[in-house]
Amino acid sequence: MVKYLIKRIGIGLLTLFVLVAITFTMTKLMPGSPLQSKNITGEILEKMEEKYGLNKPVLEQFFIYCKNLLHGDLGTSYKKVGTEVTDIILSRIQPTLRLGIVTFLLTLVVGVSAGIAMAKTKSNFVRGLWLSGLTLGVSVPNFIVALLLLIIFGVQLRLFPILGLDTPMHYVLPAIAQGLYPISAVARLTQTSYEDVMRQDYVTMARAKGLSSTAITFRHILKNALLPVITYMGPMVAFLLTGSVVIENLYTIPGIGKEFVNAISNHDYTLVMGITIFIGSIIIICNMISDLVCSFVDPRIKNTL
Amino acid sequence: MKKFKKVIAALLCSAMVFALTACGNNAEGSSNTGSSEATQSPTSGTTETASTGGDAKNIICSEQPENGEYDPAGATAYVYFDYQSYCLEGLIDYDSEGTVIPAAATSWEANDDGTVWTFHLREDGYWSDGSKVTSADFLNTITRALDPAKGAWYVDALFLIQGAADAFNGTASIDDIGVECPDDLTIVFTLASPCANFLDYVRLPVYMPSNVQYATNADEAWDTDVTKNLGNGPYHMSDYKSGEYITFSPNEYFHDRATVKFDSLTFKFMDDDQAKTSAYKTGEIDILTGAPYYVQDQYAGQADLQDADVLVTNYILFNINMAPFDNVKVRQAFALAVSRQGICDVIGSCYTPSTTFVAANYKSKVDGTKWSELQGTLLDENLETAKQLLAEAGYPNGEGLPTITYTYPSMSYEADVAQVLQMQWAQLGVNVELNAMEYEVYVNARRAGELQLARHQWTGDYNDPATWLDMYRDGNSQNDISWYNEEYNSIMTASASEMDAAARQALLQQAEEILVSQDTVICPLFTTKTLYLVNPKISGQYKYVMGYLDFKFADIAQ
Repeated sequence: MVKYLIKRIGIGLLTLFVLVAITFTMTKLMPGSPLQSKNITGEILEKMEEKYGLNKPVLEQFFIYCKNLLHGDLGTSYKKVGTEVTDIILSRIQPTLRLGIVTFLLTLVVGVSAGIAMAKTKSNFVRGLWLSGLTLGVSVPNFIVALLLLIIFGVQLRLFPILGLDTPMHYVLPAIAQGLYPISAVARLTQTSYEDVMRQDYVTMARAKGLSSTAITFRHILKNALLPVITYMGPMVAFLLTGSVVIENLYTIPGIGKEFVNAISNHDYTLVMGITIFIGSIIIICNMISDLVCSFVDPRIKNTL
Repeated sequence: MKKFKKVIAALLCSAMVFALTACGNNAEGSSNTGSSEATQSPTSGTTETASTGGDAKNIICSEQPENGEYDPAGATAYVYFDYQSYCLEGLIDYDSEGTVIPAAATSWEANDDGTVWTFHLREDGYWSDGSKVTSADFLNTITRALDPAKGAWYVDALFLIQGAADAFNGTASIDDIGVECPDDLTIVFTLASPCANFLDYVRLPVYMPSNVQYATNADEAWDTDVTKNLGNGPYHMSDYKSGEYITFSPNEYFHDRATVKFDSLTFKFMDDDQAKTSAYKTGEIDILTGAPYYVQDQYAGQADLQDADVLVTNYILFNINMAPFDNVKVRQAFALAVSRQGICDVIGSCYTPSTTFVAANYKSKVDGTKWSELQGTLLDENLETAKQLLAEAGYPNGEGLPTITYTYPSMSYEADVAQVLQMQWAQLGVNVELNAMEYEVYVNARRAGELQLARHQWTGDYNDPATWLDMYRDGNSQNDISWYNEEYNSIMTASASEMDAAARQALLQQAEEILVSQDTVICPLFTTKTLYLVNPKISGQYKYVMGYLDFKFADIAQ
């Protein structure tokens, strides 16, 4: 178990290093410079490149960057002079995190309940209706959902505010827009595995014993049926925590996804690198946790570790 | 392990319960909005009061995504200029007609050839903490900008000052530059060479004051700290949240405090056009700056839709060092074969044809006439003349011409412009190839002089024709094609020391005729305006000469 954990962390760190190397190379391959502006003249540009060490060979810049990284120093932003990259990330992750948590909980509750309802229904018509709804939820891209919600419920009906995340009301539209896809996916997963588990002998046995339907649902079926959902939760949490550029832009949420895209178009190298490492770490950690949780829930997986 | 499974199950269940309550809150919130706006958080609540008739006049504006610093001596981009116009008072300013008016300085004088400029600061100039504005505050920005490690974007505007370029390059001491402060209220600039329009330069960031007590290069974050970033203008920075918004509140010590009507002005950083127009419709923002062009149709005839003329010219740059554009007749043929109206018909009604290099909407300082009316038509569009010129150059009907490539950055309307040009030049008998480049690549290639026929655009930095015409002077770093014309250079030099506005304007007009009509190094195409959506209850804003709407003394009806 410990050996497995060490192996996973090792692989995670290696992945992160490769990610850093690739991103670094790619930012350098991008045409242009973070210091370029309309009026800037050659000599001023030279002075500024000297200040930021951009005139050194790329390989040397990379080693300097890695050295600083090992000291936990992500550097300062090129465009927001004097601001630490870590400070920017910490301030931008908060709105993303808040919206992410709301969406995550919404997904679990609505997704799992919808899945169970679908599995339990006996009417083929209702089932078909559910299924087509879910298929729609999975296939419609979130920017279309976000835009439709914004125009219908924000602008036309004026039911919800659309600018920022100031009040609980502000969360409604972006959370639904962001959550529709994971909700549909979770519902579908739950439904399939729930139906699977419902036909197991031990469930029939429980029924035969005369246990209440609630007890059967929660203690016998759900516990086992949620395994695939847990596996899916790792990437889902990572997806929610890294922020959606489209939704953050449309609802003017100062989150990490929006900042990432801005940083790239601004050639803010240190910020691009910082956010890449941050997002990369989140994805790696989330996957690791979901693997570990699965191994605890299902001993069969643990034995293969 | 069994225990652990129970823990997981319990966690999942509690998560669900928590989520349910979270949803419950949301639902509760939705029933509230209808009845009262008071439940909103302070920020959005105040917006509501602004538009529904409370006492506080808090205005919310949209702003481009945050970029750059709030330090006049730093990397100033986009939002900085809003900060400058609301929070800083420079030595001089312009009124709504474009006439120079006193601001932080109440009077000034220059010597005969415009090399020594003396400014007398007002006695009632105060920073927002109540301390006096002194000449040292103006000098502070200049010396900080000349520190090469600072990376000031407008530092080259200081190179006019004697010894400034040497100080920046480290070959002279910063103490020897030609700026003196004989007393707290006097500042004297000694220039390296005559500059008749120095007053226009002192509106640039590097000539703005920064409080000598707080604004230092050692403290890189002073500009975003509201206790240190003081304003000497009508407003000062009172709240700031990186990446979210910046708020300005009135400077209580401002000499003209009574003219400042708003209680606060908040600029929210917004990127998406749909987000901006939607937020304007719902009343969550009162002023939408840089509105997308399609609002012209949506708000046609309504008071919400307002605009300002931008001091910009889009033009074609001929590379005089590459065949066939080393031949002036070929350049003229290409320039005369273009139908500017044809281009504007395609790209939209915000664009106006222009044959001047100086922005068509620049207003003369002599009598306020627009530059386009002053100069008339510098290039007479005529396909027949163009064909004739091409034949005279040795390429009848375009026969014998080498491959010609027009390069443009792949952004907004540029591809449309390129295709119209291609069709128009085809009538001349020339087949022009189009080449779209990533913006950064295009800028680098153009500046290296590698493009044969390139799209170019220039927005004025200051309010004077020289901001355009200086670009093609010998040795200017923006002269990408290294064009040299002795007459042009001597006229530009003469204009710099000509202190009489009318005589100077005549010289600049003459120089532009050489550049556009006679040598046809560039081919101006069109100019544009910027659109705003403004809450109709707001009044008192005016079109500032630099091409934007100024709301600093505006008011909102209750």
